[in-house]
Amino acid sequence: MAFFKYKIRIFWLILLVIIIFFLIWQKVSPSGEWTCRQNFNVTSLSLVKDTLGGYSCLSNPTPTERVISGVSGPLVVLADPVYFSVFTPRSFSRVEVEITYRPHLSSSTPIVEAGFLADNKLWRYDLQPVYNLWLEKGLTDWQVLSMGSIHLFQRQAKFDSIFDFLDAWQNNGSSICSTPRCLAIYNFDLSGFPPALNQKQLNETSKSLVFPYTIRGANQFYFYLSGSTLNLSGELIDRNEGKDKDPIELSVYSGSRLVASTKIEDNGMEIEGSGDFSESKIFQMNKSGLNPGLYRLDFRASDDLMINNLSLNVQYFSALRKIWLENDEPIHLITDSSYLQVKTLSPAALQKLKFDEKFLNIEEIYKQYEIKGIETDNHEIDLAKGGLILENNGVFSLNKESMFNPDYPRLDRSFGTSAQFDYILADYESAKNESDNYLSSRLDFSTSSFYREKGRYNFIISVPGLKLNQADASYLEIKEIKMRFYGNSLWFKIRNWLNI
Amino acid sequence: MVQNKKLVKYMKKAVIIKEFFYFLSSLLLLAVLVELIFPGLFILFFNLAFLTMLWLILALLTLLYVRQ
Repeated sequence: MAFFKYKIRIFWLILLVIIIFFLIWQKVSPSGEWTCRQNFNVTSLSLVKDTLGGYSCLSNPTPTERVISGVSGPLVVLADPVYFSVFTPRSFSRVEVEITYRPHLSSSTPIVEAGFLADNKLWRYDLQPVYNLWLEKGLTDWQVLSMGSIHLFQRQAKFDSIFDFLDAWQNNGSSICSTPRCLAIYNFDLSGFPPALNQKQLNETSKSLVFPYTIRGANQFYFYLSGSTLNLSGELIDRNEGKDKDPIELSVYSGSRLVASTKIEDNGMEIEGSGDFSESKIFQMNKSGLNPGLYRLDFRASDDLMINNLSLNVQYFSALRKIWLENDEPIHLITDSSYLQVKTLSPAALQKLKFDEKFLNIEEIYKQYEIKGIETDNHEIDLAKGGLILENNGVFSLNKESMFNPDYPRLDRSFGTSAQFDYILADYESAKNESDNYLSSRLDFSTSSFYREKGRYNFIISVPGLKLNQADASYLEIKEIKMRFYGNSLWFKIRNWLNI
Repeated sequence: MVQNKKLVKYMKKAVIIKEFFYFLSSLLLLAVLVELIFPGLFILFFNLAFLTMLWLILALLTLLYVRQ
């Protein structure tokens, strides 16, 4: 009996050692690769596996009301966006994502994008195209030039190659256009090329601007500096609603180059989570030796932080894509985008807002509202008070004098209503046809700058404009998501360590 | 002779249950350690709730066999 007991004990000890080695192997991933695959077509076999095995490396999609995931069949996405988290045993430098899907989309929801959270403070996702209805089916009467995944769509055939076009654009900019902003881009980086606006048209007087409203949370701004010195100041107020400390990081970029940065720590005078507003704390940023030109200002801060009396020695100042203002007084802004998305987190901010000549009633908190304006260059926004998060694909400014947008127009869901473009430049890989009318798209990301917490990356699938109970019943079916992560192999690390 | 055979069989069963209980206890201890050091790694491959349920059943069975 003792021998029998000894045999069994040896057996389970060996099994335990194998499990330990298996876990170490997975953690180290010596080959430098890790695959996470989730098939949403659930079978009885996968149900058994899910019961006996562990969690999937890809979490369930959230919010659950935006998806339908039945016992069998694909995952159905009904509203935008849907979030996942992806577990990896260690960090990797690159990931290939392959999504197999069946789009049931319309001209109001023409784009599917997917990506990872790159900045958890600015809540910025690095997105790449999965499917673009305009590029797949919508531009049939345009002339197209292709070079790998890069495509140039011309309303009228003027250029024979993409090189000719880029050369003409580099040398002449928007003067080759018949309309002021004739080039739209999609997933294409035109840094190094002239900006979308003609800087000579900007009035180069050095004025100073005091932003009259209180800015809340993380925001990004464009400004045009006419001199060589930047003087920026303001007052910080901490709402102390969250339980974490609230530092703020102010960064100024010229293109993608960081030219100035400062970090202000939370002084911790009040108890976090108490809801007691802190005293105003004055901050300043002065930077000399800058070249006159376009800059971007990033406020990386939590939603608890507010900036009052923001002052800069610039005339042109625009908030990029999103602005969240907190004032009890009426607010007037303008935007260059023809639509506006509105959301509030506070019952006190519920109100009726005016966009151009239209009104929109904000009656529920956490609900995303959308309003379309009239066909004009600039659109007026009037709010009775602050507390609303305003978003669109353009910029927000105080008035026409301070408004400018150096970004190229993007081929997005508002494209269908716009006939201003002569050219569209896109970096887009067409979807591959699979069986049962499914399509598959492959995306490639560099993960080194992605936000990773507790071994998980945050993954998003976005179909802008897709809403629950939509009149045109658009939806997206996802059959499978496969992610293949790549990093340095153990052998490479050993060789590197030994300097071989 | 027959009684002896039955006793051996019974004792073998008891040994198997006991040893399986020890194995699962070690595995659960390993799970706690791995989850403390590398969160998410163990539960990716093993269903902790299922293992705990099995461990509880075996604990009851072990008590039963030891008592007898």
